[in-house]
Amino acid sequence: MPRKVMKWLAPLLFVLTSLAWPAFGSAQTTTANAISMGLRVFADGREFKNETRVFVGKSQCTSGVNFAFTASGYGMAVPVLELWASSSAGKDCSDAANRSSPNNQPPVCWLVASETNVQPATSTTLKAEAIELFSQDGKACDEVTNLPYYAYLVPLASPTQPGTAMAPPAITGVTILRAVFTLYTQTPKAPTAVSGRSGETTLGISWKKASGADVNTSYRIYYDVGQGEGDAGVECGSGGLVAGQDPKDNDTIDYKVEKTEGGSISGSLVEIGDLVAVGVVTVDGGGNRSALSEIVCIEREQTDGFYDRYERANGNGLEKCSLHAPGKASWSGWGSLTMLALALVARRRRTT
Amino acid sequence: MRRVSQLALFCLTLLSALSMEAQSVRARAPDTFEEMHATPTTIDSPYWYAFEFKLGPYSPAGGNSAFRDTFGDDRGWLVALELDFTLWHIPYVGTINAGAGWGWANYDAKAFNAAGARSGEKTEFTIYPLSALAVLRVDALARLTGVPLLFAGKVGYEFVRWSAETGGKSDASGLNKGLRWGAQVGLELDFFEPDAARTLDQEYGINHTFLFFEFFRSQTKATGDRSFAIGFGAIF
Repeated sequence: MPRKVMKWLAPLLFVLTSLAWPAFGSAQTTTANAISMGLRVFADGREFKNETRVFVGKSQCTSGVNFAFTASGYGMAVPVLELWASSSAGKDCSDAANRSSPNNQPPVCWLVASETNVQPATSTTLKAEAIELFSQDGKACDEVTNLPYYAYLVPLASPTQPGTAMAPPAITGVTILRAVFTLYTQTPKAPTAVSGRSGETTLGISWKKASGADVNTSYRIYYDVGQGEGDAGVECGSGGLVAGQDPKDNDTIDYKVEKTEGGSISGSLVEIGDLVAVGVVTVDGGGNRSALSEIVCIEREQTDGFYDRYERANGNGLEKCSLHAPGKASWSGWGSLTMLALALVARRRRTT
Repeated sequence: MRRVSQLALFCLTLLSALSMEAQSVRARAPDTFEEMHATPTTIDSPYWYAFEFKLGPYSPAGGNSAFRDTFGDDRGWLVALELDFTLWHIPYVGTINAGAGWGWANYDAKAFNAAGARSGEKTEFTIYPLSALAVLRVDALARLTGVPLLFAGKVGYEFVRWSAETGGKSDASGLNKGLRWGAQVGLELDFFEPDAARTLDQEYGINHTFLFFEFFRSQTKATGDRSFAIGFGAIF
């Protein structure tokens, strides 16, 4: 039996290892003769968990938020570490040509910050304001939307001189670190076709995503249970929700975050018979918020599930019991099955 | 009957003798084309188990109109597994087995509100049939004549664990019991690729594989139904 298992296992392991190897290669920056560096990206002191997908909202882009790129490496000292930025994946700043200024033309990439004499086994931080990173290509923060920007930490033997026809190449064998930013600078649109579904334990809400939504879009369902004059446009709620206005997050209006189109709120939050005003706000990957969608009224009401109807129709076929209440359950069946299984195992052992 | 047994014994003895003779003949180097290319003797590995994966429509009787009112014509998909253990090999007939089955089926619909209309809340009914079976498998046709048909008859007791919930909240759960029986006809797949079938047996101990159609009836109260399933099976 072990031979048979090995016969399967060995090629399986080989295939899995082969498939996984490139992934290991890209994730691990250490090679035998290279200097390894790691990158951490911060914005106003808050670290992004994944430096390859940093989402930046309009407020961060325009308000001069400070980004910090902390590189840590070991192996040998790097004379100069420069922070370069570009606005397109095709403009690779690790390529010296894109950092060069032939005929005194501005380089494709732009230099943001630099640090000299980077020692091994230490952390080096290069700082830059958002405006320096994202607006050097002539586009203001309110003009671009959902565009990727790239920041490169390039190790060099000597600093790049402005206007140099041919920029110095990166030191070979040293990892060039890159962070990818996605700028969300447009106000997202509110969801459309909002509708509600009544229920007893859950109140369902569905909507259609507005154009421009992507995989990083999330939604906030705002609901208002008050007994006041009603929210704008509907005769329910306490007046805290107004369609077309951002309700913000406050203590009086509750919300729930959903990642997909459609969601629900728990019926236990309201009494049976209560009307709930519900609206939805789109939040894009950069944290920009849309106005509140149209508002709908949903009632929490008593519902009849299958078993309620079954009982009301004098059903007596289903034998009710609970595994959590063994006193009420019939264990004879389970016991029989267990005995049968044991008998089979015993017989099998005798015959082999 | 006694005469038949004696005849069968004689035939077996004769076959054995011939077989031993053939083995001794093969002990020398082949000296004719026919001998060189003679089909090698193949021996099935012993088999003790049968496994089945099957699915088919299934709609619990419900006990009253509530099931039909709520779930309409939802026939679900009953997905089931069965494992049989051979208790006795019956010469020229097949095997008698003890089997255990497990299945799953789920039915869902929108619950009703007070006005009798469908609300936005989902109500569900889930069943897990567990069965203990005596199974007679008849493979005489396939073994003795080469016609790749298998037959099986099953009878046993079924325990159906069920649960009902609405809006993600459990309403009730329980266990129903009753008789279960079924009849199966299967198409043995060995004849498609006899060599592959042999290799499967020699390498992994899987003697035969088959596709089957099974008609069955569960007589558990409220959760029973008369239906069919199609599936894939293996004897090993």
